[in-house]
Amino acid sequence: MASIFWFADGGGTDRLTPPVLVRWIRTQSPALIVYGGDVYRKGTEAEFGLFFEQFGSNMAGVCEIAGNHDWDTPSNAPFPDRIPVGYERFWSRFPPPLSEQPIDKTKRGGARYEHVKDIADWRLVFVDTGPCNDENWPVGDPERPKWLRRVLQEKPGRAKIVFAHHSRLSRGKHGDNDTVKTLWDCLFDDRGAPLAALTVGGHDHNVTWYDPRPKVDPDRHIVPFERGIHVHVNGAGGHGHDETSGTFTGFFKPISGTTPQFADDDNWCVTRIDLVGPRAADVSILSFGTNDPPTVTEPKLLKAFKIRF
Amino acid sequence: MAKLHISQDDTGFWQLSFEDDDGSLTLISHQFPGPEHLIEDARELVEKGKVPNAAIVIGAPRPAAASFSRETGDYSKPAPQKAD
Repeated sequence: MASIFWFADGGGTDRLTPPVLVRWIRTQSPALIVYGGDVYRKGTEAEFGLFFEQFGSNMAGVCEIAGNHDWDTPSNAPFPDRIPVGYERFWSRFPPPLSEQPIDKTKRGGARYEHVKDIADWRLVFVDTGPCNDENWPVGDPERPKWLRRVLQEKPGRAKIVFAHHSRLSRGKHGDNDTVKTLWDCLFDDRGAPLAALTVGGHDHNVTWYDPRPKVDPDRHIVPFERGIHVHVNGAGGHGHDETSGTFTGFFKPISGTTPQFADDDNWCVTRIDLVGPRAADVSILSFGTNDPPTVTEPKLLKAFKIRF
Repeated sequence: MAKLHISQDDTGFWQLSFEDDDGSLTLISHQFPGPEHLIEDARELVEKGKVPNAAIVIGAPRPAAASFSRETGDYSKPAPQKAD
């Protein structure tokens, strides 16, 4: 079995929650630590310096999919060649094996950071959606959907997890991200059959879990696993919380996004994904409580999900 | 007119609350260490038309309530509040 750990939306500041999460994760013999993006406030070199300290000045075993804040220090090039300068400079200092974050400088824009890891019979796919507050993925680069579809189809079966900062479905201040619709569509074959088991994202600062959703109108339908993909959001990594209640009044009601099957907007959380077999994964949402910084060093299980097929 | 209020609450953290036309308040975000992130998000909500034409009201910093220790207190979700 291999264990993958995820947290997001807490890096690059003097906040003390991320170091608590990282210290505990490192006691769990992680196969991989995925930081799900956003080094605040603008992904500058100085902020990446704080991010480095939050990780104990050790990026071994860590990769990061950039968030919108990482992309707030962009190069002058237009899309699709624009890059997040602070992000690229930082991760260029730690090429594998110093970290698990590769940069392919032969590619354009965010495609440089997209990669695949095959761990314990599962394929993990990392997709950059940093500019997708405003830009539609693939941000003007037609090669990226081809790449994504290829890496999903060249490995048979469903044992694949796709990580990106922006989630197709989300609940909170940001809500569903229509800008990554093309990315979502790539997770299904031409007949609409799903190619992956789960997507993991952040951006909204809370935790949600969605039972399998189909290619078409994923915000409206829950379907059997054979026809859909689980969606998980965890942006509760240490930088405030966004409400998931959706009990807004008046015209404000529509912004909150799709209704999930589980939601939490109070706890600082790490997601643990145990790859227990070629057709089985256990997802645990672990809480470090509500205090900032956390007053516990061992998390409690908030919710667990089993993926079996 | 609808308003988005960004203010420091009794916990010492910052929150974003929505005030509807009828004056009712709804908490949107809480436990942020400063106002900057919430200001950006409020602007985005208005610019993208999710809360069209809402005014953004930013409160002044103020000390946390003496009864709450930001470092060790048992944090619980605050009530929504106006910035003024």
